[in-house]
Amino acid sequence: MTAHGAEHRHGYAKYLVVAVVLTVITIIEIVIPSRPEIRDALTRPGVVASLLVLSFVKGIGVVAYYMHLREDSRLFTALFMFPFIIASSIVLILFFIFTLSGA
Amino acid sequence: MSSPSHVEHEHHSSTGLDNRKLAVWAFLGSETMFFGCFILVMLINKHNTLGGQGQEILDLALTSVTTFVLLTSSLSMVLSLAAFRNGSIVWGRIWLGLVILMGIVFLGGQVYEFSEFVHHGLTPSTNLFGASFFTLVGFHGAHVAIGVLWLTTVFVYSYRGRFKSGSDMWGIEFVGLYWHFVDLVWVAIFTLIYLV
Repeated sequence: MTAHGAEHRHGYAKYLVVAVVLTVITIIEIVIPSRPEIRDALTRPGVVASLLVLSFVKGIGVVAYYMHLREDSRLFTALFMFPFIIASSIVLILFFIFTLSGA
Repeated sequence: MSSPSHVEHEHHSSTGLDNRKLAVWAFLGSETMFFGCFILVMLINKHNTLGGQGQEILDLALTSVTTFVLLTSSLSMVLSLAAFRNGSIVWGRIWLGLVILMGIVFLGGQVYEFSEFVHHGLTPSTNLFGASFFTLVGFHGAHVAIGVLWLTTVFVYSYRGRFKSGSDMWGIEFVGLYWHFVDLVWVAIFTLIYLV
């Protein structure tokens, strides 16, 4: 086995591990709002917060490992994260403005 | 004399990075803003149903299945790129074919979901919830459809001598970036619209 071949075999395993983690997180995400006992225990803010955190972790997994941003130039990270931060901030701010104003 | 593909490989840029890759990431950044706007509108109009159909019409079971399909297609996509880079053209094509197949399955699920909603009285003109939902999920579906077409093109190119070991893999890499982004958007939509 060459070093090059070993690296790619290692790459396959890494992606499978990420896939398993993403699947487990997705299952947890589905279970949390579906089970009344979990929903009641966490209360609505807890359910929302946990789902947001879990989906954020999934997003990081996809971007960092599947899209290889972790191994690539920081400029690519900046090109993607800058508008992502702007979009997320706008969504959060306007969402709270609209919900608090009752519009 | 250098072949056109060899000239492509020697393309220099001030950043030292592939300008095509920079363009794709900039495009994905703009798409983040694009979908962010639609997600915001959907969140605001989640309860604007005017007494008509709303969030209760959403089928979590069906959408969970399609979500798993799309998630698995992302795995297949990254395995395809890894296979092509490793010189395993056959496996590269197999994984790529699976991505296309799963993309079509996802689209089928979306079409079924939309038709069921219309059958039960929710259309884009029913209320703001309907308008927002069909716009957001419809645009995402359009992106998936474009991705399937793009993937099919790349799949055909793989039979024309492209993506051989040692050659430039940007054709697969860029469609892969697009496809993973489409999956990423669905992660957000699934969580914010179907689960929350």
